[in-house]
Amino acid sequence: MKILNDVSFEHEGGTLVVIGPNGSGKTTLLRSIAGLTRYSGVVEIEGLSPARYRNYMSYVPAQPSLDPMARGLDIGLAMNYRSPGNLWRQHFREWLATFGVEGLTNRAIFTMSSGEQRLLLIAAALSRTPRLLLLDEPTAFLDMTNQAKVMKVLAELSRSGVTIVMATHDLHYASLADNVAVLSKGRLVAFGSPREVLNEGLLSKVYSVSIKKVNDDPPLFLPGLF
Amino acid sequence: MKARGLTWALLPALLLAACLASVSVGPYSKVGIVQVFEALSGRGAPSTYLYILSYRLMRTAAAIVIGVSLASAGASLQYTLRNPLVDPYLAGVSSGALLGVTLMIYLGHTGFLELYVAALAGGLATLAAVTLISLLAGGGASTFLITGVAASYVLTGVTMFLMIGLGPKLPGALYWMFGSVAFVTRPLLLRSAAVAALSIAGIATLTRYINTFMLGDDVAKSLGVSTGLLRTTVFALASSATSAVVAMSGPVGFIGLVSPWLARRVYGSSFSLALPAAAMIGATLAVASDIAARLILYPSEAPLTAVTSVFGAPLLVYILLKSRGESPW
Repeated sequence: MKILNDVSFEHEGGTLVVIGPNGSGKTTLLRSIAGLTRYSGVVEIEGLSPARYRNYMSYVPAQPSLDPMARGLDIGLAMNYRSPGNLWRQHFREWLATFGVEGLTNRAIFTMSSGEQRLLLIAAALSRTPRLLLLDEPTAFLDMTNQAKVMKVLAELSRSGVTIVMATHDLHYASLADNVAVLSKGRLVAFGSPREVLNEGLLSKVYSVSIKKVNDDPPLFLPGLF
Repeated sequence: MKARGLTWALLPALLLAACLASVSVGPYSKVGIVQVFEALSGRGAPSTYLYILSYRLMRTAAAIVIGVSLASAGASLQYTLRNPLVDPYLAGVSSGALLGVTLMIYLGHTGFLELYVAALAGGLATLAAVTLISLLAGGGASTFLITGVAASYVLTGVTMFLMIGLGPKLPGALYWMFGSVAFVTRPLLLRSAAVAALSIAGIATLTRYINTFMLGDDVAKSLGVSTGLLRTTVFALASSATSAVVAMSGPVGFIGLVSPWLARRVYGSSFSLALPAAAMIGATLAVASDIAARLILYPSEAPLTAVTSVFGAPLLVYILLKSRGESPW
């Protein structure tokens, strides 16, 4: 079953936000970059195929299935199964502290809320010090405080040289990105800077609902449901 | 967890105590704990005593091999399939072994070596078939479980047909099914121990990768782990260790299920710690069960699987009740 058709783009550094309606292929696009789906065509990250780039990228799926009995620290250990030594441990704890959830290391997954599990997994993904971060709906399940924390961390990472590719339903994040990719029914209907790409006409067409621009700087879009 | 440090000292001590008890117990009441120490201190005991002691030592060694193998197999399968209900017989190897043994008896061959080979062949053939079918059907975790269960039913059914035709030879087949370490000879023990040791060593080298199963297939694959291949490999290694042990002493139940549970209570989700812990617990349980098997119907012997099941089930229920708040199941 072919989900994506004729998707072609180049993105250099910074944040790429992928938006589009459900079923448009956002997750498939991310999985292709992560090397988890078969694709025809070329995916190159710093000149390497996804399989060869594995050690430099971290993937956080939209719906992770973590072992309910696992402890927080074990998740970090498993993510870093290839790294000898304990450097990852320090990073892991630091990221957890940044998110304000250091206590998760000793708790079992089944005692954590979906938001806490999400923060744990993101912290574990970051503890690998990846150069490319693939996040599928990272802010789902997160309350506003945690959303802000995560986005702040991502912004800092982006500034320090980590490339972030993020699929999201939140148009707000799209307007803060360096590049935006708009998918619709498996096709890439727009790619470029937020200023170029985000306009009422395109978004209304893609999302099949009337979208209004309610602010100019930063650009904010809301569905007009009335 | 403070329990952890204590347990590392406690487990080997328990095992040693169990072994000591095992060598001191038996129908020949003249050979007891005193005689054991006499023999150990080299004060020259009568040769009959030494003979009995070495026989008991053989049983104890067999029990240890059984316990370590089944517990390790069970632990690796439970952690790989992330399912607490999984035991080492899920591939249907015990049904395959029983069919092999029944067939042998049916055909009139009842020597120990012949039965051993038949059991091993039956178990491994079943493993190969289940693995192949599971791979063809996609290789997911539930595929192995379902195929194994189906294989068990089919093989048990065929075995029942054969058993009807056994007539007076039926008790022989049934006694094999009850499980025992009483008839293990040195060459059989060494063969089984070798196969089991290789399989478990193989599993041990995969510990790092087995740990990634807790992340879910997607994340594990993104880290470069071939989850399907790894699952199949663990399945095959665990089941061949189980086959080796079943061939030697018949299917011994519960130890493979209960030992990982007990290890998990103390060591949580880290497979690298849980594996050796489960192995030691399994060995201790097996030796203790064999002692119980010798004492319950003294001076004759109770079937080993009967002992492990009858004592194992309440133990499992106790664990469940004890960990009521601590686990999602």
